[in-house]
Amino acid sequence: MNLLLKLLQYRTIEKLRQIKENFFTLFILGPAILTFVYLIAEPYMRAVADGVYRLPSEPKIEIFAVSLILLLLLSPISSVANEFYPTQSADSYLDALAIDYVQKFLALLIIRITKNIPTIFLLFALEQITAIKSIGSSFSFYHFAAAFAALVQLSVSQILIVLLAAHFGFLRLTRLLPSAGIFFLLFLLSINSGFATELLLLPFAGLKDIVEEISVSFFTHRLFQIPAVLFSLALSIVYFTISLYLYKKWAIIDREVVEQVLGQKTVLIGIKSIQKLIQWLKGQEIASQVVRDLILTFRFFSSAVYVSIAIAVLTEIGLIVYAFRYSNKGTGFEIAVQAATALATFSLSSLAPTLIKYQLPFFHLERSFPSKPEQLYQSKLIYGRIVALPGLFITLSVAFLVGQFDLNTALFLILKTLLVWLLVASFVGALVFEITSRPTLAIPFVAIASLSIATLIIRVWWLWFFVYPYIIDKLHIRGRERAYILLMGIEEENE
Amino acid sequence: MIKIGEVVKRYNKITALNRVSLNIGAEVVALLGANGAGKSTLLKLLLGLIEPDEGRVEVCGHEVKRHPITVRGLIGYLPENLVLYERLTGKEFLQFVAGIKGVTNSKVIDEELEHFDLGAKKDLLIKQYSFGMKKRIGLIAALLADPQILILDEPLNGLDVETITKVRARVQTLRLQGKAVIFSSHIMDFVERVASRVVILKKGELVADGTVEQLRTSSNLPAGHFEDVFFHFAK
Repeated sequence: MNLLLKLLQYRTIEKLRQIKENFFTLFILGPAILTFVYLIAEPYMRAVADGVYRLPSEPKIEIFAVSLILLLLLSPISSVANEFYPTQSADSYLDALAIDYVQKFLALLIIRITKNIPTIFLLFALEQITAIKSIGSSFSFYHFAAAFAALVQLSVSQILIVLLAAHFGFLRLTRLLPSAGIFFLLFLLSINSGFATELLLLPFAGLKDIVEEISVSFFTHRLFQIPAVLFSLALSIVYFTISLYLYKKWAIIDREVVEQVLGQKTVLIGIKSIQKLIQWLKGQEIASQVVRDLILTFRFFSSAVYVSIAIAVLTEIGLIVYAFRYSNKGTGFEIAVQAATALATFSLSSLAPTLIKYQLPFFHLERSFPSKPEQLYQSKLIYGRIVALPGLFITLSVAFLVGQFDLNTALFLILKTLLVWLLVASFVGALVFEITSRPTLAIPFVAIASLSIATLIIRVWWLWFFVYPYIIDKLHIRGRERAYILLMGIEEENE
Repeated sequence: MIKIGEVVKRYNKITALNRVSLNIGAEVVALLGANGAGKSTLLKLLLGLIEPDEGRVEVCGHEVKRHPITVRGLIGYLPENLVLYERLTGKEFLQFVAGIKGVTNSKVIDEELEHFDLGAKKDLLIKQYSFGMKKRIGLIAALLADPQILILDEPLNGLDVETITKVRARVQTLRLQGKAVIFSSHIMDFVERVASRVVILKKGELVADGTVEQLRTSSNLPAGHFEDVFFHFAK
């Protein structure tokens, strides 16, 4: 137990220093942005809470819950893998020390739980906000119990998935995502078959019920059920026991496997053509940087890449649902297509701030090169646009598959979505240097800016020709200045 | 102290170590080889950081595969790619390692910090340290708890001449105390002056094993630079 306390004590000291370093962004700028987001979203949440929208059917709630759980389980998978099989981080030093597997596992579990606290807190906070507006505060002991159970089950499930995926060779995205896709498809096919669905979702039992109850509470008042909490805790104990056993048995062998998986490279088809094109348009210096960034992205430099893709996919699903449920033609659908383009573009291009954060420790390389701030700025701007291009293409493909258009409307829609993509991607690319050290703050900030302006353009498309040249020009000046500061290391010196 | 018997280690289709056998006692062993020869793999096997595909590794009578934690308690290790907690101070990191290793005498840390010229900078965050200073912290961490075996993977990278001299003196002291020291290095002058035995690996195979003088004689380069002796076996 002494070793466990030592591990946690020094990790806590490190974490507190990190918080202290980011005091301003975490306690002043962050809350300010969140308050701003809340003020924008508050009327919509009130409308949900007041029952403007109908209570969705049980299968829909179930689909939402399962999608959310899959997202929560799979998005941090590379981060969990790095925690359990550290090869590049300071934790790798611990592997050479005589630390008992049980104590190390417990320390890693506690760290994982603390990392999941904000997610669970956010879920229950949203539930509380809407509950307050509709029927008054419903906070009770059950909420505490359900939040605790969900937190523990989510954490041990993430760990168990990583241990199994690492051992059976499913840690690579090319295997993991299709597996998750097949599971989701089986679930959709069996959704009305009662027992089969229950059996399929048995691994998530408890957690799924709690997430469903949170989802329902947006529409109506429903108390958390004790059996769900008990089931969640019981499964957590089972998963904990299995994970601990597997970690003890497989840790050494799988550490090698993970090291090799992380070391394997993905071949990118067409990257040379992209490089030649950018080189021809913008020069070799910019082309090299963009290609480097694209390679890093396609090799999943961070779990944020999974999250971005997942959100973009959810946006497309949303568009399909809209087409089937409401309308697949006319102005409403055209607006939905443009909105989906804006969201998918934003989701993908918002990888740029995370990429900058990822590159900061190696920025001495850029500083030692004769690269200019203009080139650095241009490279990230182009990166934001290119990485968001699949979002545009997929949205248009979905729109033409499920929608009904005549030729003129279709061509006009292509033009409008192109304008939306260019606007949003350029906004994100141009603002990428604003909060380089805190992408979690930079992304909401960029989201507010880019999606607000996109909303305006979607409503009145021709405004693009006034807004884009003017605002983007101003942003270019600002972006170049920020890139200069980053490249010269002025911010670091001030820190 | 260390028995390595017919060890094979493969990474997919690459054989990193091919039937390597080695017995090491209380001596200073330099492990040499070109990049990718299998030096780091061999050192990781000793610590139980990786498992052999074939063969057996024993440290002080304990089979590493079965008792990795016990074995790690006997070894002080300096990895080649040393990554430390950036937001701990040098002293805090050493206190952390000392806590894990069960060192109760806290004076040892201050003494070692002074010895390696880090006394004045012990309360700075590690992220403010230079590469050489981090390496020195790693060295002190490896030396804590007076380990039976010291494993140093490329210990000299980033160190200044004064510190290299101190490392050399410390290694000689440990040898006199009956400890085993195994290190990998590309600095032949250091190897020549410190090692009581030199082991050369080539593409995962042990191609030479003996004292500096024995290797000079068997390579027919008695008066040449030791670098030439190394090339004779490793190329």
